[in-house]
Amino acid sequence: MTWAVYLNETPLDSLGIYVEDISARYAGVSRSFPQTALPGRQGTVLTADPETQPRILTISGSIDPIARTLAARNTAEDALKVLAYRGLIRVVADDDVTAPRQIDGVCTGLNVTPVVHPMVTQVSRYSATILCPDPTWYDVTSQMIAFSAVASPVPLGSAPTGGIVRIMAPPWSAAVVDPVLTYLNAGGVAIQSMTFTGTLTAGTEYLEVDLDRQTVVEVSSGVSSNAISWLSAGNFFSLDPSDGEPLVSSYPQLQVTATSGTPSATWTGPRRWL
Amino acid sequence: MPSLIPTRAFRRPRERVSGLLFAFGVDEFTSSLPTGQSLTVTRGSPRTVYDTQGRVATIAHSQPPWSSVYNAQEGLYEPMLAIEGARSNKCLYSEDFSGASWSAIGTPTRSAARARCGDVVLDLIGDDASGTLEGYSQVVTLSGAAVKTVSFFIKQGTSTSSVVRFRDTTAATNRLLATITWSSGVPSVAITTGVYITAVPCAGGVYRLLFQTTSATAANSNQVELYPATTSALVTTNTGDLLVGGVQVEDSVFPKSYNKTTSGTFSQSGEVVTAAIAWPLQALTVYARIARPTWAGLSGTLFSDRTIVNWNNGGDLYKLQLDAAARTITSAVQSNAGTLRSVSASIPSTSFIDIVAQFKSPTTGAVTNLDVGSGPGADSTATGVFTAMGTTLYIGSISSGGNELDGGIRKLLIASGARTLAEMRGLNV
Repeated sequence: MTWAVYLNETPLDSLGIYVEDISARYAGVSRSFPQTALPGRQGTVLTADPETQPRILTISGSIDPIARTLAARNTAEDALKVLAYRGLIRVVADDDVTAPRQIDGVCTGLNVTPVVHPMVTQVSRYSATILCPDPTWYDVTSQMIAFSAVASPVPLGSAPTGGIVRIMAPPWSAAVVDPVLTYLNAGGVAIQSMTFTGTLTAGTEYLEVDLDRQTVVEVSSGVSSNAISWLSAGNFFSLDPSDGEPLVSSYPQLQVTATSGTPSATWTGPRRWL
Repeated sequence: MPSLIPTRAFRRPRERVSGLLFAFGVDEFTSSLPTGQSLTVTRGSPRTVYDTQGRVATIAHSQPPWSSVYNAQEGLYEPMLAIEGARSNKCLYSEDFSGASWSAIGTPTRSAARARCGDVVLDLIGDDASGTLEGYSQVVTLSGAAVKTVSFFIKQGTSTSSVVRFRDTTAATNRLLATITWSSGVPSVAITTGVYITAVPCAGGVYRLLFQTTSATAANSNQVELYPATTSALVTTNTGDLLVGGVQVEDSVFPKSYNKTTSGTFSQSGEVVTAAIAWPLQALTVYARIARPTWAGLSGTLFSDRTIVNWNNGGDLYKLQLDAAARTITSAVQSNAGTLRSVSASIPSTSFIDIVAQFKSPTTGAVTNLDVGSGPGADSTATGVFTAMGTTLYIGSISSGGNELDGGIRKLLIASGARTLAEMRGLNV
């Protein structure tokens, strides 16, 4: 069994930087619920949707380069600072058991302490604090799920996800007119739908719906144009594991239909984890 | 007066940055790379790909060809960028045995669209007459005398033994004869004539079987035949049914991704994937992780070079490619005034292949070397001095289009300086 931690593309152990703990790695997401008291009533009432807090990771361990010299230790410490302070960083944790997961954040502090005297030791301890505005972990490898008028379940993690849907008219279909993207729960009950008014020419055009950024783009023979005006009914939605039962691999579904033509679609996105 | 850090430093970060020159990994299915480039795809037609559960999905003109390949060792589908050349499906009504181009042999049974694998529909065809050989055939118009390919999607029905045949009825000669049996829903193929390439596992117990015929004579009458219940001796006593669909016949030595037909053939365009680059001339290391091409195990003469990545600036050229004829991986350099110099290594037998190629000494006489897992090989002979890097990176094809990889790229990384295979393979992209 191996344990690998990366900052962006770099495995830390390749620099002689060893990770012993990532605090809050396995913790769930913190939430706060706005509340108010009603006169004459005991208790409080929840007044709005919960707000999730950012995740604060503390990555700690030792710096112990193979060369075991003062110079090598200094070089490794500098390398860690370069990696940690490089813009938005991606922390990837791979325990060689479950599929690797990643989270993006910014380093708010890095503490490095040589063991014993700094002029004689080749080893130091470090502790890096990473603020992750999006507190959910993402699978490193995303999924692509094909669906059509026949709904397909979308395997999810423990957190809601968005993803990108691409709807096209296959070459063997007539043009797809007014496609409808429907989100159904695991039982096949429609939860939300998005109706688009427009025509996709068979084989050459597709509609790209970004559920995270809430954009709609039409791509015609490789040329993109804003198509948010196509959305004539319905709202953007998130795929929520609570619309299924992930404990028994029962997941919500996606379906695409149209007034005419036979649309085909794909959803791409990673599983997200609390 | 101390010098303060400029305001622009430590600005609020919105995107990751990378220390690499080019970092393309398929994991996020995005054309926007952390190294700043964007991939541009040019393909003048739709095509099909596999999703990460093994279902067939159709993508549109110039839509990035994200696909999946089954990793048998891990038991899952891994994403990849699948780049293919042009070809046509010559079999009409590929998912509809009631189509006008199919002829019934005997009186086979048929139940339409009894199974699906994403966008592919399978009919349930059956032989219910003991004493009569039943099935379907279709005369296919070929072009050129050469090896052809036959492929189709299949799922176990009640039949214990089925046959596919590609027959030259003018010469009364089989170009392909294969018998399919089953064990717990997994097909097993015995070949009598032609070549059995492989079975691609798909979703829902569906498999895509790939075959290569012996050399066919296009001027003769050639037909593909499917018998749901018989043996290689074409006995008439067997009965049973079989789920079949997505029949494809190609004028090609190797089957490519499936394309549905109805009343006419379907022609898929080749594709070109590019990224703009603006690097100063320097030594660098190219790392590619690719799915082992299915054609790598075939014998005989195949086709021309299959490109992984290349760039050129006038006559200064670098390319990393698969030599389909010699079954090798080749890294090559050529300066404008120099000779093409290359090094090669055999294509490993693993299902995924990691390749590192170094591009060195461009200002004194460019050389290259290669490591496909056995350690770095010797440098090539030097070609001349390079004057500049190219401005466009061609991924999976050459600059003019063509020589497409006909395979899948899992990762493509380019780093400055000389790096080892272990270093590059250990990077998380």
